[in-house]
Amino acid sequence: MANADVPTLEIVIDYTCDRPHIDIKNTAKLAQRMNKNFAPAEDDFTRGEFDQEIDELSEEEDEEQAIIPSDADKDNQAEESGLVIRPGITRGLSAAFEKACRIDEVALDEELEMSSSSQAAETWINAFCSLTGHEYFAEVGEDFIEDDFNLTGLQSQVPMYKEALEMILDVEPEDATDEEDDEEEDDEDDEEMQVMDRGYPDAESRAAARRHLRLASDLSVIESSAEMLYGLIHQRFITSRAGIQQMAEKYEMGHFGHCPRVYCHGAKVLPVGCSDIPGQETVKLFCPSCLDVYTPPNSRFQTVDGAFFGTTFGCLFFMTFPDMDVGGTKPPPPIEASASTPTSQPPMPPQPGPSSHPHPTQQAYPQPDMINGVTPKNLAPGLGPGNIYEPRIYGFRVSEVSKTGPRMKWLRSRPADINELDECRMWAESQEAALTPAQLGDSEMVEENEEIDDGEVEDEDMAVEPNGEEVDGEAQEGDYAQLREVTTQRKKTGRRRNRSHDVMVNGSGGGTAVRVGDGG
Amino acid sequence: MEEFASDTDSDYASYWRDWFISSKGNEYFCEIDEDYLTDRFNLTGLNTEVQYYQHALDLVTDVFDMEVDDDMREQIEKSARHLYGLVHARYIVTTRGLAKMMEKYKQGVFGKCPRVICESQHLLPMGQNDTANASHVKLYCAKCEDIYNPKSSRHNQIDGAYFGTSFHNILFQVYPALVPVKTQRRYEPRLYGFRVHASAALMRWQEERRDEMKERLRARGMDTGFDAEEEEADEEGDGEIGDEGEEDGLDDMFEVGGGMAQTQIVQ
Ligand SMILES: [Zn+2]
Ligand SMILES: [Zn+2]
Repeated sequence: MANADVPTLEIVIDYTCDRPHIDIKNTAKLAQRMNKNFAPAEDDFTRGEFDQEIDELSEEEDEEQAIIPSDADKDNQAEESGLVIRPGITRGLSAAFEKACRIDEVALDEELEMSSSSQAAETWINAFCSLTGHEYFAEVGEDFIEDDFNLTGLQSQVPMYKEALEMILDVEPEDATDEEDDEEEDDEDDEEMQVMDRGYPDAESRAAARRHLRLASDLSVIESSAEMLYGLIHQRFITSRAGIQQMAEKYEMGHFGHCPRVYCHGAKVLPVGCSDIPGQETVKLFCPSCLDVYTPPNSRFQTVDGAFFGTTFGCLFFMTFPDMDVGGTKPPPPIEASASTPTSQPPMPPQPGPSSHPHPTQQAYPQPDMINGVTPKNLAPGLGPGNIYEPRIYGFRVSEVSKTGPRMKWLRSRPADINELDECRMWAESQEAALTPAQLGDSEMVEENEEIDDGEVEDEDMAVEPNGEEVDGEAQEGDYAQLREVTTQRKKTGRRRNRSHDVMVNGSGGGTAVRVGDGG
Repeated sequence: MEEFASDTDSDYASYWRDWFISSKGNEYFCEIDEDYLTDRFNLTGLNTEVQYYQHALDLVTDVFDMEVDDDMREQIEKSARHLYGLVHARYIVTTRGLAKMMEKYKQGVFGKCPRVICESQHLLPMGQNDTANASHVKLYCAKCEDIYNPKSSRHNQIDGAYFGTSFHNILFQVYPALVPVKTQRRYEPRLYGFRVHASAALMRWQEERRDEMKERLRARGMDTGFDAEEEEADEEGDGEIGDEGEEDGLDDMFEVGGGMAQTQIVQ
């Protein structure tokens, strides 16, 4: 019996080999415990107020630093429980070993049992997620991790995969190692084996030595491997049903903070990665209201790998919850007397977004319920007329043709008439008007891109919707497919065929379309 | 520049202003010269805006020596801060004020743009209104030309009128060399590596607007202000393979307009 909880540590003492040693697991837990004991300040920190209180210059940074326990702190803490433990630090282990050896086995077992029964066991995952800076993480369910399918391909990405996985699941490693010291291990531990083979000819001492080696120098490797592995599993988990649900709860509660952009009016943001490969980018925050990404306001998140959230999650999230209101809450406009005078508008269904600037053209055209698979009110509600910064000097607009005039308004623009984004319809209309060479010439640039995309689409073998149904003009199939065909003279005008490359996702009422390999 | 750096009135002990400038949360303010404050012309109209105007002015200029009770003292103190802010908005559009604020800007005192693509572009404080008590200070990024809320709650309390709607625009007019090169790169939401139709359609629409603007500028023989390399890439991207980044670039969430997905954001 070597598995225990003192109080949150897992200590494995191995007396079986000729040179017994102590294996200390779950240093994340240790760090967690240290946090609780030595830095109650962390409790003062309220989730969801990140962007408020954060980075209040260096002073708070210092406070954050204080949360991380020093080695001395760890020693003090450990001595309380009768052991000197310096997790992951080789030099500390001999001392720990000596102390541990003085405690006889039975007594130790009793002690451990008592302590574990008195306190609800905290899993490695709990501990990891409650570490400072890990506030964005969801707690991956153990059943998700235990399903091998979900871990496909991760083995090659993480060093000491097996040990790391055991650490995450709080599984004691002994049994597994002894029972199946076979292929699986051999694969992973090739490197290790080579080291081993030199000094330890027979298998038994080799195994012992391996364990010892692991203990000494690999503990910190396992710990960091476990974090990496958890992150990679997390990337997958949050795109699963259970995971995305958990993230939705965190999102609704504002755990991820709010968009710093003034015209987004505090729209909630979502953590995303800009790469799926670890080690490339830190986590960023995606704002659905302006479709842009921001650096988290607190530097504590600048150590969190963006790959642990991944590139797909952000999109998938808002497709999964198409009715979730992504706009911020625009404050009542008591201040701005002149420009914006949003009278209380009746919440008409076709009303495009919370934009309180009733643009003339909005009235002129009825707005669709859906545009390209999204309800107009959830399509970048923080952009468009009234939500673009207008530089002024003494009340006069700075002209575009001024040398220092505005050049970036396009980035925050959005058509007042959302129908302008129905590219298919727009195109069809222009074709119906007249198939003149002039018009064709205009679209020829696009056409070449599209040709290439076409090939790629077939390569990718994405689920095309070839159901050949007639679609009404407002439908979300909008695509250049027709454009492509006509410009290559394979088709004639005026036809409305749903030969679309949009990928239907998630069965969300057919309301979601993914544009494949778009040419920009 | 030096004349501004070595404060002209450093011989005087500018006690109150020193205290004010160095107080936590007042990092955005620069020190107003003594002679600017003592020139009544610069304060025109403020006497009606500020309670206990004369006392407040005396306090700011360190000549306040009346015996008052604590309540009154606090009132005057508050008025002095308000007065300082209102004068500040006027001062920072003067040559000296602009120079001081430019120095602070260069040092990044006002923070950095949170937008990832802006790559830590320094910000400038600004107000959305020139009248007091209307809105809090915001931060302007000259790269994306957008405005952001300060990160710190302390800075979020400051009245935007203490900086005004014009200052940051005037600064770039006076120091055009400080205008950062604009970028066309942007974040592209993706799903399993594929762009999502709704946002992609909007982005195409936006990019059409951008290209129209560039045409307008070119027609006038003006510099577009965008990164030249990007523009080239953009042009090529329109014509030839715009999507070569597609195979290995699934992770590249940042795109130059024409689909060249080569530029990674580096931390
Ligand atoms: Zn936003
Ligand atoms: Zn910016």
